[in-house]
Amino acid sequence: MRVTYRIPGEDETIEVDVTPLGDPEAGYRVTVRDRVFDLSAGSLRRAAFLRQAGEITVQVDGREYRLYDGRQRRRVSAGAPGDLHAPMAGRIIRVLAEAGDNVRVGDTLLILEAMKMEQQITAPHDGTVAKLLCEEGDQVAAGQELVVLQEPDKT
Amino acid sequence: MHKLLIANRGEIAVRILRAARELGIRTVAVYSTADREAPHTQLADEALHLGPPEPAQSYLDISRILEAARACGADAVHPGYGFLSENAAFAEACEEAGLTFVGPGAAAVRDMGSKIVSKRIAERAGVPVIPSFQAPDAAGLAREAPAAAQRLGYPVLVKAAAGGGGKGMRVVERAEALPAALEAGAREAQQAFGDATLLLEKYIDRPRHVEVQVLGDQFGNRVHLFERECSIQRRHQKIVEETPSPAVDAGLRQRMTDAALRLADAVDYASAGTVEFLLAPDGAFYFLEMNTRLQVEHAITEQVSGVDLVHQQLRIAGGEPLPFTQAQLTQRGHAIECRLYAENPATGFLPATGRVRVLREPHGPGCRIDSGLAPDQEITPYYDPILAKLITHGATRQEARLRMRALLRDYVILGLTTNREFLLDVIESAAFAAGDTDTAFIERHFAGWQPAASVPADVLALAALGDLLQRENGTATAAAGFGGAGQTASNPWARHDGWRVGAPR
Repeated sequence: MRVTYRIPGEDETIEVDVTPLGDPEAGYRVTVRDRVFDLSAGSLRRAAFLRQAGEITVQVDGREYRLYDGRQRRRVSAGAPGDLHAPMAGRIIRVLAEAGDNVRVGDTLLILEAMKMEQQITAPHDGTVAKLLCEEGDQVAAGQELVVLQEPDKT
Repeated sequence: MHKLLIANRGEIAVRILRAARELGIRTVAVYSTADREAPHTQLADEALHLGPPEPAQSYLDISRILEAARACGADAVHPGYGFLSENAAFAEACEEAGLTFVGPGAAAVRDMGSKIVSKRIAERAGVPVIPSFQAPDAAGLAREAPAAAQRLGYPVLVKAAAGGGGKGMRVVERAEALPAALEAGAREAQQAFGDATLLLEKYIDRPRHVEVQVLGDQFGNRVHLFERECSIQRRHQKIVEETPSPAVDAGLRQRMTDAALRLADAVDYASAGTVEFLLAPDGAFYFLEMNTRLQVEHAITEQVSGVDLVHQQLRIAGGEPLPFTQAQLTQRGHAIECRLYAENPATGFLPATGRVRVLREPHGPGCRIDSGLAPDQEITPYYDPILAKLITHGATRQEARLRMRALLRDYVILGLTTNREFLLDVIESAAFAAGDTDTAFIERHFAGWQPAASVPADVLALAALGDLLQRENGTATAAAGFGGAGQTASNPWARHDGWRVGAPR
């Protein structure tokens, strides 16, 4: 069996071949690029593994690694602070901007709260608030778009 | 005391109901809609629904909690930590309703809950305090804060007068940043404690956070159970604690514990409580606040003292005298606690939500896990992000540290982002190994922390094999591993016993 993975931050996908060595007791030959590993199902006893929605998490020796199924489209990740996507799931506790407002870089547009912690959503650049996609009191998901901010006209 | 209502959730509710059960007291859990399936709800003898997920309509709603206590015939209430644990009105309402409040009396909660009153009492008791400023009202604060901050000298600290746990607390470096800090601090304070009152304080550079556990009964007997150091904090909230403190020698311990007991005596303290100090690099210490409740980090004190603090709280509230004297208490070995949080250390410790898909809580000598987790549990954005507390005990600090390192490595929680790997890096760091800690430890050593991005070939090979086997079996059998079978979401029985340390195979 051939599986293809994408590693966060890397453009190329990696192909891994898994071939059973006869019956399940005999184990598996796993080829990663030019390296060959002979593994048994028991090899996984030192690992923990989770696959959900094309994202794979593996924990080995206390370290956690994340990879994505190479056949699926790259997942949209939750934005960093400053993005106009919700950096975490939570509730919009204040909306400080209105559609049509001209804002400067760093202006606070929204305040999001989760687990008793506030996070300010600030303008990543100068511009005009084209659309507000949330209201005070809204519960939003991580990664959800909150504001559409247009670049200032360069005329 | 026959029936105890636990007005809390998560790991602390589980901890308390276990202690109550050990003493033969029946337990009642209360829960919000978000916690219908949570371990504390399922483990109690009875569970009563409070309301919707929002804390104000569930775990912070005094009338609903009292109504629940009446409905089930409880005769005592344990508030845990957070929520209503330091709410004097709640303590009073319990007393008026004829319920035993497991904590000190409402008067001690009120006096120590006010930063101003507690400092005044501390000063009078001969306990050193940090210079500070508080205005009589919000308008006065806005007007006088700039001048007061100038007098105290920047940097100053903006804190919630009613608070604890770093909520509503901000360091302000310069005058221009003060108004915004006051506004945000007031909002957070209002949200977390229902009281927006703030105060300003002189900021002490490179301090350690060292606190003293005290225990008093209703007959005036009081002891201390030594110190805990809780310097390793992010956003002014503790994440790693240990006892003894590497910075405290016998002489300093004597002075700090004496001061803590003087304060406890001054308020006639009768329960478990904690007197928090800032310890300056020169060995001077200043009273911060007294927490009139069980602390999150109480378990490390239990490990070195051998005293079950929750048992003692329950016995004291039931009118029993302390069963030991100061002379009978000793510190045995060293204990460390790491707080496992649902948060992302790579994005400034923003809270993370999600579902626990794979959970494995290892066990072994000197390892204790206080957890409120079950496989398949949904971690919602409504409450504090604490998931579990990992506690290790050893004959020496090094032994406790090595056990913690192994525990953090072997602990598995997949399905949502946690700070587990970050904690592992803290425990493995040279600065922590050397005991060189202060409250800016994280900012100094771990600013911009990122988990390793590259994936070694052998890990890829294991991932591919796990992937294949999972597809073949249709289950997450690959989660099985070190320390016993994995508790997985696909196992319907796991839900009922998954909270236990190292569930049997």
